[in-house]
Amino acid sequence: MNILGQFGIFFSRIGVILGNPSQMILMMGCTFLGIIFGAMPGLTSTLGVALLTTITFGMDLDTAMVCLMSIYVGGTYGGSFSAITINIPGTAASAATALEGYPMAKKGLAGKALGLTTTASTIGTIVGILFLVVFTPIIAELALQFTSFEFFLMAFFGILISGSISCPDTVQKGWLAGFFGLFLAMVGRDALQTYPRYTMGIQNLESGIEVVPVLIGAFGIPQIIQVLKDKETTPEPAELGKILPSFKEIVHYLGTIIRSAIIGVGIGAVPGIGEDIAAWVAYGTAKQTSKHPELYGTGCEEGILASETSNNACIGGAMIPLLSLGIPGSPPTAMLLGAIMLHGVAPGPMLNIERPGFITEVGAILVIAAFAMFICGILLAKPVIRLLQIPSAIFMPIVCILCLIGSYALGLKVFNLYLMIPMGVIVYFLNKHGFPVAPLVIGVILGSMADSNLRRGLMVSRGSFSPFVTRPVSLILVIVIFLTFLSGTSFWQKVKKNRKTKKRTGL
Amino acid sequence: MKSVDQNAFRPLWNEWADGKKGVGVNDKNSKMRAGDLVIAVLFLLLGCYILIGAFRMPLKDSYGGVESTWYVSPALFPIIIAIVMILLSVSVFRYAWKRNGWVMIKDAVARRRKEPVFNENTIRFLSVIIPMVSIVYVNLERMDFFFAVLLYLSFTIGVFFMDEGQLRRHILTEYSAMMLLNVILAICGFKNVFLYSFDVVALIEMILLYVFYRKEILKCDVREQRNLYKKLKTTMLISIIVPLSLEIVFRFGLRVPMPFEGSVMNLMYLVYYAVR
Repeated sequence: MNILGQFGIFFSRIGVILGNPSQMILMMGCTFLGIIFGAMPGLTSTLGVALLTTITFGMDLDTAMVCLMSIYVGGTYGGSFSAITINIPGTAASAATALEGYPMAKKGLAGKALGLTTTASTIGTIVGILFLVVFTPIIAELALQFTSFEFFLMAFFGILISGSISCPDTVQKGWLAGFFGLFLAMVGRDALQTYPRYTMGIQNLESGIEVVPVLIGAFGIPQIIQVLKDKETTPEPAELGKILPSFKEIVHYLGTIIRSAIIGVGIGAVPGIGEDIAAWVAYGTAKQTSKHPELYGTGCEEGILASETSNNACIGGAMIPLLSLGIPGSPPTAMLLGAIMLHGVAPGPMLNIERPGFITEVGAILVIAAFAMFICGILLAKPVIRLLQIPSAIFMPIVCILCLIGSYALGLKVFNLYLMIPMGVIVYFLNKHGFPVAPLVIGVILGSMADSNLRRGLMVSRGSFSPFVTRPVSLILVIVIFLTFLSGTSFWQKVKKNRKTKKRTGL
Repeated sequence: MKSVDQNAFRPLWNEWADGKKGVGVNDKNSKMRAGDLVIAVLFLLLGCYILIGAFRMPLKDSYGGVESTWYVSPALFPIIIAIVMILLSVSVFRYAWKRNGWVMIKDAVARRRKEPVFNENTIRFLSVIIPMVSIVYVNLERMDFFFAVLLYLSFTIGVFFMDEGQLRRHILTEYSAMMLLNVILAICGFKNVFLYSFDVVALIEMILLYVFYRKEILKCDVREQRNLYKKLKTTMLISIIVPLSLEIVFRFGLRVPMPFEGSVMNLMYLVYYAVR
């Protein structure tokens, strides 16, 4: 399908959604809820998507998608509220925003800072959507040529790259978390021979570990433990004043905004790398290329625009591998993948064939959600700020109950909860010691795909590994995986160190 | 989540900008190395368990009428996972060992010996975990959802909202004793005595919990007492409203049957069908 045709369908879908008042009301409500989830320290957009997954389970696919996408967009943007007004980033994605937003608030410019983040987030989301609508069908069509070998390597690459980039410490810890996720995916009867693996004789484990309760456990429980365990007091929010979109600054910093949006889309498209990393990279790049880097940290508008444009552009970017390959681009999209699959839709190369128009519909929902976010952000900022004053000791236990009832409601199995709690506690300790959660989650999701594709591929090649190097895409992926792996070894670090020392000494 | 120190994130993004990320960074964080050492050993053991389990799977024999070869065997992928996991665990172990991980463990153990076992940090952690574990593994399937959540919320919100060290410590002890009683009753098959047996127990426990709270508040500073009573009232109000609303939304709105439908749920049915 040509791109113009694609856009034609895209705009007609926007018209359909706009003409449905019940969906519009739901969209506004979920976007606002998303902003609250993003703004409340301790709650994240991933948790918002997780909790809404259980509520939207009974809805039809279109309405469920409206709710889920809206809360995702709202949640990613909402983090900036607490970052600016109380200097506590509501989500990790808004940590960079706090560096510039809070100094602006201290100067009495909180309203202006929020105006900037609102406009930047809207632009970022829309740029991300443009990339999503244009590139997803192209990548999906390319992926139709993929065989089992490529899918196995894609899954493997997803875990490795997500482990490499999302780990705050040594990359090996990120990979280890990823392989732990892969192991969890192995539990249960295998897809090809239905042989029970690592079930320890527990009948409930024979069908495998259900993804959504594990994800809720991995994202929700550690957050609850962390917030309640750490004694904290919420500072008094800064005075907001008038929140107005700042189009003048937008035009002035157009270059930074476009660059940050592209960074956001690019990072979002890499499996398992979330909005937080996109925001940091865009912020860092903006500082490096700025004419006045000395102003960063003192309330620099350019810094806010960079991080907020990038983290919202990441949404569209993260949806690209999700819809075209079935590989989530970020933690919230990992949760979305679970939610979409619950509705009987299998994201991947066949999506455009099995459900034509689904990708454009997602794009259309995201566009309207971006505008809903803009309206909510400008009009409803004050109630959100007031909600920030609710102590976490009150809302965190309630969130815990929502996680429990949500996980139970999906399969009506209390056994899901039996798994969710230990999973949450394990992730809490892993997180505490610098093991990232993103590769673990990607591992759980992609485990069965990697396993069955490897064996299916080897079955076709009768046990030969040669297709890994004879097929061009496979070969590229093998090289990339090898380089990713090599970059994490101490040998590579030594080589890099030596080269730097040589450069410094001028040899 | 703590307030952002305006310089706290600088090193992180500098690492990004310099492209230094990977092995060899954050060495100053040697406290983390002690944990790395322990976790690496645990992952190593897990890797061995996966490997042993994999070699028990059919590698060449037939299973369920399917003649297996090594490349279609269900053991193939677990073997790959196990080998990589073992290698990575060894690598993390080596990394942590080289950076004084073992010394840090010895340090931590020595420090821990000087401190009381149940220090404030441990009590806070247990105050999150014990109610979470007890609601899932003990209460949810034995008493009405309303009572299970009521017990959970009234304890968790109460001890963290009031945020008094001594109060939390005492209430945690009393709450743990009550949950232990529930475990014993569950083992003895008390659930089968009559349909609402655990609901009655929960109601008594709830009243006791309230009494314990009031007793503990009386021990606090007189100037603080009024504030604490106010917080207790808020806690109880939220603890009642939340499970009631959830039962209505999930049971009657989303048609999700509760894990155990006891007295409150049955009362709701009576009202629902009478009104309908």
